[in-house]
Amino acid sequence: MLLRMVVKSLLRSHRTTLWVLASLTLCSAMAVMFATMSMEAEGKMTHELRRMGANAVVYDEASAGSAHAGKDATAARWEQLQKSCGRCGAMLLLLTARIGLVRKAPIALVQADAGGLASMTSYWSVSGRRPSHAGECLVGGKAAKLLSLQTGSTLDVEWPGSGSAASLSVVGIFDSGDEDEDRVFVTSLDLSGARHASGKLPPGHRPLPEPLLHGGQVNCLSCHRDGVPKQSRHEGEGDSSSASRSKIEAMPIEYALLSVPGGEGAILRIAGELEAEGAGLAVKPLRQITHGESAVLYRIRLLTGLALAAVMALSVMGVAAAMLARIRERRKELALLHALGGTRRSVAAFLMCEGAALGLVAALGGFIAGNVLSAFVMQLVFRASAPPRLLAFLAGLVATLVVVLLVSAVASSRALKLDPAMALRGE
Amino acid sequence: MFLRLLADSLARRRSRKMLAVAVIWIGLTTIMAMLALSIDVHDKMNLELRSFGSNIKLVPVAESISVSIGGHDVSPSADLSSLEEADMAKLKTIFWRNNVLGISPRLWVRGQVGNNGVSLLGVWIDHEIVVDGGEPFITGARQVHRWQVEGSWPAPAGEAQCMIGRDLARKLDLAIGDSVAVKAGGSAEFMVAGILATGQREDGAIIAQLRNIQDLAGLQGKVSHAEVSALTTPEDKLARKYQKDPKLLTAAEYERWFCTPFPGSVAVQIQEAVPGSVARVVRRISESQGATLNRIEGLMCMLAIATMVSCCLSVAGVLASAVLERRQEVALMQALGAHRGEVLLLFLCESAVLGIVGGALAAATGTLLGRWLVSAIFGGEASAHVALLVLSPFLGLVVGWLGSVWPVWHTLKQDTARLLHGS
Repeated sequence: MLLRMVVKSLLRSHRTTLWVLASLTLCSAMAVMFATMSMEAEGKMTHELRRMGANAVVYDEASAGSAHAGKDATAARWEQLQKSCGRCGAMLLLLTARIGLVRKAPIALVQADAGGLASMTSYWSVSGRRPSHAGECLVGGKAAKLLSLQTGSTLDVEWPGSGSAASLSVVGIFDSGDEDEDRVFVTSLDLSGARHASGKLPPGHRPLPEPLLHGGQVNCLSCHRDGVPKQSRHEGEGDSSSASRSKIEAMPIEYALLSVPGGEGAILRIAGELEAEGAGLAVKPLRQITHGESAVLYRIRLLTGLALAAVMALSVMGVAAAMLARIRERRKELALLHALGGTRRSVAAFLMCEGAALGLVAALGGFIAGNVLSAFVMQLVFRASAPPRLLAFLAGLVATLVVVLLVSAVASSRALKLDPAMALRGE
Repeated sequence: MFLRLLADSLARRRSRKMLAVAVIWIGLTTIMAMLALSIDVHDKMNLELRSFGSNIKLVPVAESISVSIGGHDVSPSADLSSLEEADMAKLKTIFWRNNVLGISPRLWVRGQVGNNGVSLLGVWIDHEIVVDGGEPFITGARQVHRWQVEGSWPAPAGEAQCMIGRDLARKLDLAIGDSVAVKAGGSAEFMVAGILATGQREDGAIIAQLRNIQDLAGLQGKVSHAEVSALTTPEDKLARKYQKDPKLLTAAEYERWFCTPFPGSVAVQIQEAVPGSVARVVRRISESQGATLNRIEGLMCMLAIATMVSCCLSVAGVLASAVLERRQEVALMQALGAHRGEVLLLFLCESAVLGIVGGALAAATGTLLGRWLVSAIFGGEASAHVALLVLSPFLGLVVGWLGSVWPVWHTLKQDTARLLHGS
């Protein structure tokens, strides 16, 4: 009977019912929209920031000078890293670098998967195009200037120690403003001459063959103030027998760039997993990047939270006004209920049930409207979709029910204060 | 007579009128605060994006290719090209001097600790540059890099102190408080004040005051390169057109490009100020900052609009319910011979007065709340926005009318007798 009374009551004074429903739906829609946006905006912003390159670097610990020095580098370690990255949705780019000689001067050549490199370095400004086949290369702007290279030039590289050489076609030159501009990127490195003729070398120090050293001096390509490339020789500082200063790595070096969503915490989790598995890889967060990102995401959270609080506070006001207006409209009806023997408790329960029914309908309508609004906003701001989320529905439902029950309680207490006789007389 | 009616109407049922003013005041305070926040968010967020580090790198023209892979510097011995430390102060005299928020010159040299070869990095730490107008400009690694240091930064005066990279500290078994003797041409002893981990080259280096490293290496007044943190505008089509080929720009386009603080235009000015230098935009940082700023501005705009619409509707709803309570009054006026237009005008004028009063109050409180929110979220001082002080009463007027027009018109169309009867 209570349910029938509630439905009939809602349908009878349909104008005020619609008004209350509209206010509640607006409240629910705002709650859903802000809940969806606060969940999605952070994710979308993280995705946007992750498009801007790596936030961690992974090195072989044998070359990082740690206690694990001496462990053999095997493909299995990088596979372990790939599994860890797969678990947390991180992007991984494996790189193999090797020092080659161009006009007798050393330069770093880096092999990477073309697609992966393009994803990880989308911020590079490339004139020409990125390499897609073996034999093509992408040269950093600084290296290109010092080597007088342009798109279409040929880059002749000698591999130290083996006597072999490679000829690469320059298909693009990129501008990044960082140390990558000193390097040449290829899709395939010729590693056939990678090992020194003398066999095994001590880890961490892999000297060049003697012809490349000239009594403690090392060939170096530099550019004078007039911009003309010129070879010069630098004095090796200090004792020429000091291996670390006058020797140049001739072996390929493997390392990886990671783009990990979730900031430094997620990066350290990957590091912990690799440490536990004894992978012998050192994971280093690029702290400047992770710190910057966490600061940005924190501000976004604050802004969306603040806007939600403001909107909810004022929605409560709007809902309260609508429900109190509804109570005033039904003074006679409520007075009649009183006069017919309705107890205070039953009248209050009747009003609360009405409020809950309105709240449930509004939560559903608000969920639909809120999703439409948040999809529109996400498309406009992030050019991405925002799928409906159960959590957002629950947030809208809870917010609406809390608001409507609170206001219904206040409205009930006001209704119970009415004098039935005066109300029935129309005063 | 109309004015007397209006005054009487305003004076009657004061509690209801005060409630209406209070609702408009609260609603508009929220709207004004959100507007103040959304106006300031661009500048404040742009400042916040400095935490990504420097976005312009100043290097010597006579610079060689460094061979550095995976964090290991395998390049040959010292790069002899350098910049003059004294030229760094010129960056605060360029056209974009107010956009230059931080300058961090760095000097990299090779040294020895015992039998170990180490990298030494000299940086400015809280260095003071006197600027035109007399106000000192404090800058250095702390302002540009925002490194997280375990321990403390080296003190500017007194005993020579240093920071040490985490990898090097582990390798040399050094902790905070230890002394380390360094040789690089000359020799010096430093006390380890802090340990830092950046994930980059600094992790394997000893970092100290620039002048200490200069004295040690015999390179007084020299720096290897400088990192500059500048407040810039995200690049648009014009900036990309300039990047492709500056000659493609027309004279008007070039003027617009020159007068907009794009990373490229600021870099050009910086390069011209420092002889023998090349200024390069660190694309990763500038692109990240640009993308972040565009998204946040868009997000904030949408949030502000949603908040404003929601607030206006809620306030209008409250006012509408207040007007609906006075239906009998409306019916009585009609019964006494007032035209519909006259009754509507009376109510609109009443709403206008209430809206303007509420709006005027909200102008003050909304501005204060907005400034508090900006400083709470972003830190620092918020800007004053005079336009909001003018907008607020006007918005109060609009909201007051929005809340009154429909219920009054709806009441005017109803049967007067029924309304007077109380049905």
